[in-house]
Amino acid sequence: MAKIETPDPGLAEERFVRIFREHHPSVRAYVGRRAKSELVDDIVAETFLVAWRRLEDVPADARPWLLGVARKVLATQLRSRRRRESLREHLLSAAPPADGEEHGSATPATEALARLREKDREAITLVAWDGLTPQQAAAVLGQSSGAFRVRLHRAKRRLRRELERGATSAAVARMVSVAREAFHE
Amino acid sequence: MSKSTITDDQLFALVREADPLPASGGAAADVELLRRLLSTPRRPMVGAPVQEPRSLRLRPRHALVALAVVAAIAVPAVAFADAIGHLLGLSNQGTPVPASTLSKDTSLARAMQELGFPSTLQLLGTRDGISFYAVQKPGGQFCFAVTDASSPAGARRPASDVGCDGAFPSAEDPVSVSWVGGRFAGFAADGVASVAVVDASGATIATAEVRDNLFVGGSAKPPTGEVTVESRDANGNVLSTIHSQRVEAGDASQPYARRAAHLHAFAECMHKHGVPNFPDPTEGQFPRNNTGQVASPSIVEAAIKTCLPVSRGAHANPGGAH
Repeated sequence: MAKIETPDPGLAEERFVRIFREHHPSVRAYVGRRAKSELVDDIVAETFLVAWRRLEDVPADARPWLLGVARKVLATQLRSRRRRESLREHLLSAAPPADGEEHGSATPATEALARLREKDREAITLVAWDGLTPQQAAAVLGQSSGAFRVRLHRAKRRLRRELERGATSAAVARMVSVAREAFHE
Repeated sequence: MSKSTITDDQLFALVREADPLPASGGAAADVELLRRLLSTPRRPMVGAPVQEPRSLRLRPRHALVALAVVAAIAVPAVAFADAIGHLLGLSNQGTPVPASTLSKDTSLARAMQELGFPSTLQLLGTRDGISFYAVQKPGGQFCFAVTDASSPAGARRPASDVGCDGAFPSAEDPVSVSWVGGRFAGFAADGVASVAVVDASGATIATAEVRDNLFVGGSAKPPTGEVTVESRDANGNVLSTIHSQRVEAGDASQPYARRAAHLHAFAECMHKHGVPNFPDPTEGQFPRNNTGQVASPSIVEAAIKTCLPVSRGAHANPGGAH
């Protein structure tokens, strides 16, 4: 990847400010979707600190690069005590437990996404939530465009399958919900 | 399988509905953060806290070391060069004992079975009446069990805890904490000299000195809100902080073994009362995804009414061990 030389400190600062202003909202949104709220500020700050220090490495299309860094910072954070504090858990905590009568903010897609493997979920959400093109999403993941397209294709197929079989027994869901609530009193 | 009728557009529309931060692209940039970043010197980085978004193919052993180093550099609180090298394991290797040693505690034994403990454990030691066991499963994951032999039978306080922790022991996760017998106890990686639990208000609610990778604190109520577990080196430097709403797997006030016993009792009762396909608990909770079918919701309602009191009765004396 071509480096963008900015030997003049003034120019470097100007370029960084432009990158920050343009991409801070999307980096923050990317992290906010995947991390607990108390971690978001630190992860975003760490991401832009890397960008500031490695400004020469930030390509012209900075967003995928920044999201790739954010993804690494996020992974480092989540790798700590409980791996289950992942996007899956984030999704499930955002949605109430499966309940045949009280869906609240849970959508069939929320449940289906939560059942996907991390790799599949990541491919889908980079495109659907973060609005990246497959080429940009591939850059975030450090993959070739071709490899990402295959990954996305498989992820979509699995998501369809999960959506279609997602109509779990309302009665079972309800009784498990009741039991879960009872045991978390 | 028949071909799906969901188009790509429909699929992505559904996924966008599940976006936890819809329409967030217009958020204002953080001016204060920008100011702070610009005041940070752009010195060349000797060790990158985060690698570029490019896949690295390291052998597992190397990857582990790289991870630990990355984590240590990424967290300023861990940046004590002398300590990092010692934060990668447990020197206390213990002595082997059969897992059946713990079979008297039926709820603990059941939880260990569920978690796939091997038949031989390492007893790392006994301190202040609390025994500490560790084991490495064939997949490399460490599991731990803590039992308080001094806890009287029938006590309401949990007398044992068990769990498998994928990240412990490591530089970023140097302690594993349990609350047993009304005390704060656990395991600490090499280099950790003391452990403190700080509540949301900043008050230290428990402290313990580490010896031979083990620690036992004084009597303390298990925290119910958000807590921070701080591990410190011999000079009092904070090596790591772990923020968590839960100190140990699940609800800290209801350790794994006891909770598992309650859940099993409930599931067994449901099976006996007309709901044979009620899911068994796994890893201390009922699965969220259930594909079983139930004949009649009224049967389920009746079974739940019957079983909740029964399983709550198990709370007071699960397996007769506590």
